[in-house]
Amino acid sequence: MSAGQTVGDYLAAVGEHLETIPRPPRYVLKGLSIVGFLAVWWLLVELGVLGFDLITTPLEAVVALSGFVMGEPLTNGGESLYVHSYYTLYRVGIGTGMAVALGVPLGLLVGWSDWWDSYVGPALELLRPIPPVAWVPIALVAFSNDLLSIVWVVFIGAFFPILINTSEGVRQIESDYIKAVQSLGGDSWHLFRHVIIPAMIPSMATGIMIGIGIGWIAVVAAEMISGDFGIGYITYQAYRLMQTETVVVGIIILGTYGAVSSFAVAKLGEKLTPWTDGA
Amino acid sequence: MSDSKQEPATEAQGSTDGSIHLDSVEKVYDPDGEHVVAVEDITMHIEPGEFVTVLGPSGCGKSTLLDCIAGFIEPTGGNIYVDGEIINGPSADRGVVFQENRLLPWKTIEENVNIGPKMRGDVETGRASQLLDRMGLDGTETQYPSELSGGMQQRAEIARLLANDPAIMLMDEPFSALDALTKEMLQEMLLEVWAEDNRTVLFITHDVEEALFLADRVLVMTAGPGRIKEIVDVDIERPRELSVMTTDHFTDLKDHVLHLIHEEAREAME
Repeated sequence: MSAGQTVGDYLAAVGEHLETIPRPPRYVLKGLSIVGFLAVWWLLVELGVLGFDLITTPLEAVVALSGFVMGEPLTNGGESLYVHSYYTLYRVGIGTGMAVALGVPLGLLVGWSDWWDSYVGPALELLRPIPPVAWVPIALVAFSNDLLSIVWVVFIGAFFPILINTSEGVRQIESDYIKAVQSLGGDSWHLFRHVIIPAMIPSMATGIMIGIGIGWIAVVAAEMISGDFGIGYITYQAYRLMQTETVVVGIIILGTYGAVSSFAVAKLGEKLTPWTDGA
Repeated sequence: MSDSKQEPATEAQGSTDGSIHLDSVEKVYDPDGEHVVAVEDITMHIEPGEFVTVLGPSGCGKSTLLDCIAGFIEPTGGNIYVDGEIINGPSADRGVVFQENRLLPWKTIEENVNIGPKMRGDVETGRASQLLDRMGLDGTETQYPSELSGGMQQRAEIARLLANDPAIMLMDEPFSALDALTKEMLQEMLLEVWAEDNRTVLFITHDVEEALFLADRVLVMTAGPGRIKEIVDVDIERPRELSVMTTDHFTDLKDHVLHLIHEEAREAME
């Protein structure tokens, strides 16, 4: 700096220069965000903040993960990532499948028919507020079979968002669409096929996405409490065995499965609603 | 939901005349014990092929009346006859065009136009395109309603109605949400279509000029409860062009109708 320059002038010059640098593309900024997150994680472990020094660093987690992907058993003498995944996915699949199979038709009925809404609705409303995980103990007793009780908990968790969103989807249908089809000569069946079903698909898809999310929460909790296989179960076992890298890997795997299933439903929803592109 | 107790009347191949007879029609709503009279004492005869507009302020029951004639709701008193028979629910022979565009958003324009014939199992290839051409919408077949402008959507809705070849067209303020220029264009188009097909048209509006420009007769209604104030004959020659609205005769009619409406408004305030 020459003698006459002030700090302020210098900073202003720097600022101007920075403005001329083109802004990096979006994906770079997003990538930076993720790198930042990993850096904070690593830092917390290195510095031993609270109990973080017992947790693995990102690098250790990735190493462990690649080992498991290669087929190593998740705990000493136990099964591989794939066996456990199979159990968990199986349970979530059946539970959510049942929730869709029951929730969508019931949602249609409750949304469309006053009778169903008045007589069946209240009973469902009694059960709905119960957190899905709270069902685990009673399910273990009532179903006396691990698979059934876990599937039940997944089912009950996924069922209500699907039911509620589907019925709302039906209730919100603009009555003029019904009138339009009637005045074009349509009977109840035509109404169902040409108005009700297409109109409620977006709401139903939202319900299924939410339902799957809750189904995942439910399966993990249920597996931790009971069961002898599954990613949720093994994550908890690893915790008790102080194998923290397995615990972290368990989280990563569950997060990945959850994200993929949400994404799949969202894509399916988009495919079923071609008229909503850039409306 | 209104139930058709018989097969929806889908034989709309021009076999009926399309006369409408209203006999002391009354509709009373009773929410929570409050006796609300939407319309009462409506008696009128509409000849086949007539173009009748219904004019009145908000709340005068004109939409309720159209709903009754369409068959969406049942009158609580009196009867509605179409071609001499009491109506029973909605029918493809009484097509409806709505104020807010009610093309089904999840179907393409072509699918929308074909929906009446499709429900009858009677889709003719190319007929949808023909009708869309007629309404100036060629090329829009594979688009979705949301991709069309308001005026185009209403034209498509008319095309959809025409696909059923109904004897009667019921239109509930179909152009009121459009800008003035589009409105005028659609008014002229509607008159052309009507002149060619000669269907019976019942057209609801709150726009005095529109009511007089389009109609053979204007049914002027009062507000709360909705009643017939006067039926005004519009004896202007056809075919009519928009320029007719500046003639003395038209202006006289307009003054007369406005006077009727203001009279009503004054009475309502007393």
